[in-house]
Amino acid sequence: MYRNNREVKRLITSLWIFLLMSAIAIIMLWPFIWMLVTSFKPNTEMFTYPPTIIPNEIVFDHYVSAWNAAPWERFFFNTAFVAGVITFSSLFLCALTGYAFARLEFPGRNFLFLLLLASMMIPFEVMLIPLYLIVVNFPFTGGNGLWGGGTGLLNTYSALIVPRLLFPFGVFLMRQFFLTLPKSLEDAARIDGCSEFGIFWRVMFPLIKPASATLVVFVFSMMWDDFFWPLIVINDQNLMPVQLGLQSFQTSQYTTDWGPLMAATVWVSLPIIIVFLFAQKYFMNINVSSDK
Amino acid sequence: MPLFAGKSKGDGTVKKWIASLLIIFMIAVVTACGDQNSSGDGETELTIWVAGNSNQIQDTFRAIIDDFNEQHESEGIKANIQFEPWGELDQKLSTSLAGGVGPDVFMHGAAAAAGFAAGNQIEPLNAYFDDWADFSEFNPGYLEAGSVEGDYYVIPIQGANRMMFYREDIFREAGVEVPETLDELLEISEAFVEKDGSRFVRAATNLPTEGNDLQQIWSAFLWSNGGDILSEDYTEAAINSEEAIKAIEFYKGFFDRELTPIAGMGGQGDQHPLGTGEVAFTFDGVWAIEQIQTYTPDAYEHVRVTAPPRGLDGTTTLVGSSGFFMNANSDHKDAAWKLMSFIGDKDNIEKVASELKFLPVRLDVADADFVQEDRLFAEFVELTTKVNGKANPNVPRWTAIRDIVVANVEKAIYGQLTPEEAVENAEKEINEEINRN
Amino acid sequence: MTNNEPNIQVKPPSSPSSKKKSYFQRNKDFWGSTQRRKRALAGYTFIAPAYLLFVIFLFIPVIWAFYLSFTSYTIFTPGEFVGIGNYSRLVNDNSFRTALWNTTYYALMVIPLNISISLCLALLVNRKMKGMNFFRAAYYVPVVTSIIAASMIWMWLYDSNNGLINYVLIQLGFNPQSWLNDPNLALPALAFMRVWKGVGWNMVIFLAGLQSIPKTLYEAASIEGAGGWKSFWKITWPLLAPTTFFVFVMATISTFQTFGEIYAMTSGGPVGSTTTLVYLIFVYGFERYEMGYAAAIAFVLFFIIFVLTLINMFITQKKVNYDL
Repeated sequence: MYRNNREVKRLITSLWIFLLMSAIAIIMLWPFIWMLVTSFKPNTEMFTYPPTIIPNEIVFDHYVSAWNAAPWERFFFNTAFVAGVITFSSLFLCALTGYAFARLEFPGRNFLFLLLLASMMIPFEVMLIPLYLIVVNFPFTGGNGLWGGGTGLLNTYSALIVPRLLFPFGVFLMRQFFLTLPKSLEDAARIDGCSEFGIFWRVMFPLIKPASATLVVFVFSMMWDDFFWPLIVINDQNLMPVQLGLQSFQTSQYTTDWGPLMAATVWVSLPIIIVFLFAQKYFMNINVSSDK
Repeated sequence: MPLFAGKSKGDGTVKKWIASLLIIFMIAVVTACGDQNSSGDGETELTIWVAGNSNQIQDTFRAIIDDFNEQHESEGIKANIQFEPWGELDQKLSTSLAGGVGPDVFMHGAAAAAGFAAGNQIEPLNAYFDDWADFSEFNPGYLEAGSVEGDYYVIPIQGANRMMFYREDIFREAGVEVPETLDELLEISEAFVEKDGSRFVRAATNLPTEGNDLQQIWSAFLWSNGGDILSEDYTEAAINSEEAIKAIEFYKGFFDRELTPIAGMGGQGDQHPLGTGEVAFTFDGVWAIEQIQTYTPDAYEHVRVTAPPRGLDGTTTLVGSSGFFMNANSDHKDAAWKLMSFIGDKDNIEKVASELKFLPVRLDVADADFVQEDRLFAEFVELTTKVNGKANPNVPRWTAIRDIVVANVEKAIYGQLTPEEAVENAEKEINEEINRN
Repeated sequence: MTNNEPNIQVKPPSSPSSKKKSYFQRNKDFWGSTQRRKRALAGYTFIAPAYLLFVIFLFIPVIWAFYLSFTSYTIFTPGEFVGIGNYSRLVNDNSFRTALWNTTYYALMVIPLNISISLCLALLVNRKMKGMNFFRAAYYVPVVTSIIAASMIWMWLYDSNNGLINYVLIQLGFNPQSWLNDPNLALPALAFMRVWKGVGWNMVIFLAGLQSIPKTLYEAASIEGAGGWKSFWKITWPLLAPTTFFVFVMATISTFQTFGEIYAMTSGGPVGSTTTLVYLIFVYGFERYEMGYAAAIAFVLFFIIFVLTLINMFITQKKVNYDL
């Protein structure tokens, strides 16, 4: 009896939580749902008042014209390539660096870390031109000598990848998670004669899989969403990312083609949602918990 | 590897990660070098940037550049075209110019001429224009819009005038005609308004309350009253005037009398409020026509375009243009000129105007067949040649001055300043801006 | 080489109980031990690749920008050295003062809401339940919706005449508002959108943090009879401190640097009520080409964020318990 009572209580709690989470989900998803709905409405019915949630007439025209508006296959490949390379190399770099900042003691450690942290606090707008000049004048690339002469890394994949291999926030994230690991693990490995790199790679790194999954998702979605830097450093359409494809619906200085933009935004967002769903099982990796 | 503490187990993995890092850098460097198009065979390569990257713009300009390349192959000139979204054009352009790797020819709003000229980024075209027969065919207003201190800098490609669009059916229903003066327009506007509670079902018009658009529309009223923002020689502000106060009062009148909501009436996505019948008239550019056709085709037949009513001193409308500039640091100026003049010839201007519905910048294109096919477009084009037009002043600090004007008019609209205080304040701030080193 | 900075030190896990010794004595002690030396060398080696990238692509641009803030650089002309001219110009610049206030107000709305909501969301989704994968993804969707499209949708939702929000308000019998055109409402409206866009990000971090707390601790607490609330304050909250610190710093940085939706939705208006410091930097830097002055504003912004981070570091440091 007592047991049953508790189970009923638990069930009711679960139900409440479920309802609450559904309500939040609707708020969070609303703009996206709206986008989806709009992408299926014909131009003439797109903006009726009061708004209709289910379109009276469903059309796929916007998807067709959006697909024809830009070389999407190429854009998808570019973004996937750049985001993939950056995501995995920065995962390694950030973990290694974050580990050193969290668990290895060396003089100047906190100063160096704070420097890294501080660099994030400068708005990108004022760093843009100096960074651009470094990329354009990068030594021995793109016809450059020691400094300048050609176009450097401009208009190459490297311009998209190299300056963004390191994310201070990634180092910071990894550091914070390495800080939470018990010291006993490290000591045990050290007594076993493990090298410092071995301790990091074989003992500690596998323990922060939730953080690694987080970083993968973040870096991947940041790179997927990024359009300003590629816009500045890429001139060749063959190297452009998907977000620049979304720009092609601005039909003039004053007008935007809504339908196709909404349609394209739907498919541009999908890959990151898929990556998220995939990475999710690692968020929940360590102690697969019961309910609390 | 003396750097590493561990030797027994560590070395293997250490090597592995060093190797992987090296590979990443190798890829980076190889792609960097690999992507260079080597063109060392005496060919002149030009880069041209076009503002806007919609499909239609890309198709039209690609075709023009292909033509150009075909015709100039024998001379060894080849132009590469790129399309930049309007929203980020400024940042990309100024960054690349700062990096010394800017395009040889680029498209931009003509109003930016003064800023670029002050930084020695654009080449004066006077010398080229002297030997160019087509020069006289261009609408002088558009050329003027891109000239600074007597020097021409732009070959216009697109005109940007604002006229008054209105719905004849709504006017008829209200039993009014387009009046003679702005003051009368304000008086009759009451007749158009329909409200449902505090929500506007229909407003008289749609007036912007911020940014460029505010300045462009409000300045036309100021000029129509006979006032101006700067003195004739651009050395000081002239905005503290009765004309400016009147212009603000007129503009503000639409909000104060609840003839139009302060939040605007153009909010339904990309639909034009005239098309949906939410307003009776607007002051708009030629782009409104296509918006109406695309989203509300049924409304097209009811829309008319006319010159805006008179202010205290006749009617003056804003004339703007966008067009092509030549980079002052280009290595191939003669080739760049060939390209610019090629784009500016009659056939290409006509092509651009007919395919993209750009307002034609050449007088000899104004009565072409495609213009006549579209009633509104034809009427609009005709008006641009008849109605008195004026461009924004081309002074290097224009963007700052514009922001000052906008900020003060806005404060007056929102009731934070009286019109008198607003113009006084604007005058003071503009003079400070002009006199600041 | 700078040694440990005592005032900014986040207590490291293996920090030796260093009594007050002189700088040189500590230095000598440190380098005296072979094991420590080895570990320090490993530390430098581990951070070397990242630091190389950092110096080239972040540190140099930052220092460069810092230098520019003392010049009259205008993008097209190198300008000249003006000393603290740009900074003293800030003092009398009304637009700067307004932007500073707007930024502060915006941050005060966004940061606490963002952090508390995302922590609640993380606690909510940190359980096994059918459909949980869907909910987690749903809360993350705003993060991955392109800012261009999201801004357009939100402008439409906020539209005073045809917007969905006002439609709902009218149906419920409230007065409609001109959200983005009301100087008192525009910034809160943008703040709300930023919270919508940002909570998913922080939720994921909190989730990872929650997952890293050993489950045994909760079991022990449960045996001792501690309820959910109590175990949250005794276990979850303190052990989450490094994560909270991270979330706070990142939220501060991203909130103070919000630009995309302001650019797309309000362009700093109405009447300058949504002109934040970063928007002002854009206006001065890229519309008026006064990059030197824009850089000066940027470093004021930097200073604010940096001080907030230090304060937070100081608070967090007091209650973190690393060794379990």
